[in-house]
Amino acid sequence: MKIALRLYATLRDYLPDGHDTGVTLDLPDGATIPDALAVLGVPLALAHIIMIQGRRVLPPDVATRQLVDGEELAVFPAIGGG
Amino acid sequence: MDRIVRVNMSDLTTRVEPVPAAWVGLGGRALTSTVVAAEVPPTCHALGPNNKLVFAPGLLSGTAAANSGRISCGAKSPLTGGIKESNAGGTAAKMLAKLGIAALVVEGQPAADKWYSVHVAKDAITIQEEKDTVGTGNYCLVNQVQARFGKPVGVMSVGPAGEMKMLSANISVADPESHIRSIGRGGLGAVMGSKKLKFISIDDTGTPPVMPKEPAKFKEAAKIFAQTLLDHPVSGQGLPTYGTNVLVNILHEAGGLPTRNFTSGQYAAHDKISGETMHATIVARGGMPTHGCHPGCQIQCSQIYNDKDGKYLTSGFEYETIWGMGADCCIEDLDDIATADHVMDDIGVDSIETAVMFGVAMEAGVLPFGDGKGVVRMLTEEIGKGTPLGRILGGGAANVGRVYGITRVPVVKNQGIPAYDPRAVKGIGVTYAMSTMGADHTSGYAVATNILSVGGHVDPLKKEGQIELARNLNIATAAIDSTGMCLFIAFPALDIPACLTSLIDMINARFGIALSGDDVTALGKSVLKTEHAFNIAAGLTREHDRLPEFFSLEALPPHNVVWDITPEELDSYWNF
Ligand code: SF4
Repeated sequence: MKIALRLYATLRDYLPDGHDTGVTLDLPDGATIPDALAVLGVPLALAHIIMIQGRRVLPPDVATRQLVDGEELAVFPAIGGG
Repeated sequence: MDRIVRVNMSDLTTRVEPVPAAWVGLGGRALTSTVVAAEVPPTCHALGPNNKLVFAPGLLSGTAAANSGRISCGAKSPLTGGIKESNAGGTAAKMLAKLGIAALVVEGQPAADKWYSVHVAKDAITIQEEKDTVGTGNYCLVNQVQARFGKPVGVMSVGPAGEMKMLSANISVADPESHIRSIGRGGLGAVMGSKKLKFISIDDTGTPPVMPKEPAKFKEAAKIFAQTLLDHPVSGQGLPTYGTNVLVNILHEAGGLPTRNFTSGQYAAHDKISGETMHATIVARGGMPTHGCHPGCQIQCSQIYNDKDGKYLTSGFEYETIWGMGADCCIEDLDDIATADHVMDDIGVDSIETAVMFGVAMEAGVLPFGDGKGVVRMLTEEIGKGTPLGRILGGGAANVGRVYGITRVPVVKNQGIPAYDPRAVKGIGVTYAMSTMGADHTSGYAVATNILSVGGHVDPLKKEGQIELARNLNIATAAIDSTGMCLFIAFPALDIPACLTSLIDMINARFGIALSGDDVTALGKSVLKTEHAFNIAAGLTREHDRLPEFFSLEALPPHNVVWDITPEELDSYWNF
């Protein structure tokens, strides 16, 4: 299955050359969020805010939620403003 | 800080008084709101002689405490019709605190059609007539005033918009580089203009540093406090690197980035205006990605943004401004937005009110969505020059909506709604509805817990828990606004217990008192209740504590959510 992984702020350092904002990943069925992050070597501890289709995924679901073909996964480090 | 300075613009006299017993221990917003509630008739015209403009440094301003240099300004707001406190960085708070001034109160109104300035120094407070500086923009004015005194005096001023008493007019405060910070919201620049006061200059020469009553205890607490700011990932790394504009992308992803005058929660061109793009642009052009708005700011979320030729264009380039001109007005070019930001600072209009206003004006067909050059032209040629169209636009979003018959007008109590759609970030919606200030994200920043996972997590798309969240944050913020602290200390304060305890320890050591955490909460509650009572007496009823109807009628993509918190639920906010 294919999912879109978008990384933000300092996590963009983990993107391969030529990709500014994210990548499309080809993952086996049943793959989880940690599986997707592992492809680019993003440490799970830095993935402070995780969204699938614009909705937050919180622990403990972060470890177990299986990705579905066509989903968009957005990952942020700790950020703030206002 | 034991003196109240009164400047009477009716008879052009000044008076220095000791702080009355009832006001001892108050600073910043607690003091401005207390003075306004005690001395301004709630039903007075905000631009008439009975309104008062109150400037107050915070309780910790002038000390070595990190991030303590915010200045509060209060009055009855001509925009909301209620009480107002707005605060900014710059050098003024520290200087007033060093001069021992707890509050500077500008009263009355001159009879003659003449402009004035006030100079505050160690031995004298004087009023001068102004001629050459009238009509001058804020950037040029700061340079003129500092050249007149031959040193970097503090300057708080109005631009042409304030002189014309526009409802979107702000008050500028000079920062350490003689650039501009803004007391932005609620039309306080119009109040200053109504008093024919072009600027206040402050010279703290010859004053000793502010000494805490218990220096050793203070030093120890200040160290712990500073460490907590460093330790929290938001205040220690996120804000210094990307500034507040890092929020564009996360609000886009969460579907809460108001776009095209609040018709969508996502902006296709979000990456072009994002904090990441801005950071790369600033670095490539030799600007400063990390910069403090006042001496002693440790977090340093501000920045200096240069143009294509590497020349200074703007600073303090905030998320709310970039969201407003960017997503809400669909302007994709960050340089156009930066130019607009510069012009808004120079003519002296609130960048949030003005951006929200342009979104409404674009919907009305005054100019097309996405027309960045058109916005800059209208700021310079219409609003800055006070043409009939400029007067309408300078009256803010609610005014433009009324004039053009638009129903999608994102305001509460006539003040423009910033940067976070209340349908998709419901906690901040409660703050917008209930804040004593009108729509104001800073008065109870529920985005932290709804979106940023600071202080726990409350689902932004559901209504459960939002009233309580917003109430607690508004109470805490009213207290923080009284200390002179920048609100961004709330990020560590929500997650690291030592941040708040060391803050209270600093206040106690500064004044030789023994406040507890409960006392600080009680202070926040009493500030809100004082402000609420003023608003009720001014004619702002519970029916004003509501969001505009369109938020309940129009579903916001991509989550297709509407505003569903009922009036009864909102009213329960005041049960404390
Ligand atoms: S963190 Fe930002 S807003 Fe706060 S005091 Fe520093 S520069 Fe100013």
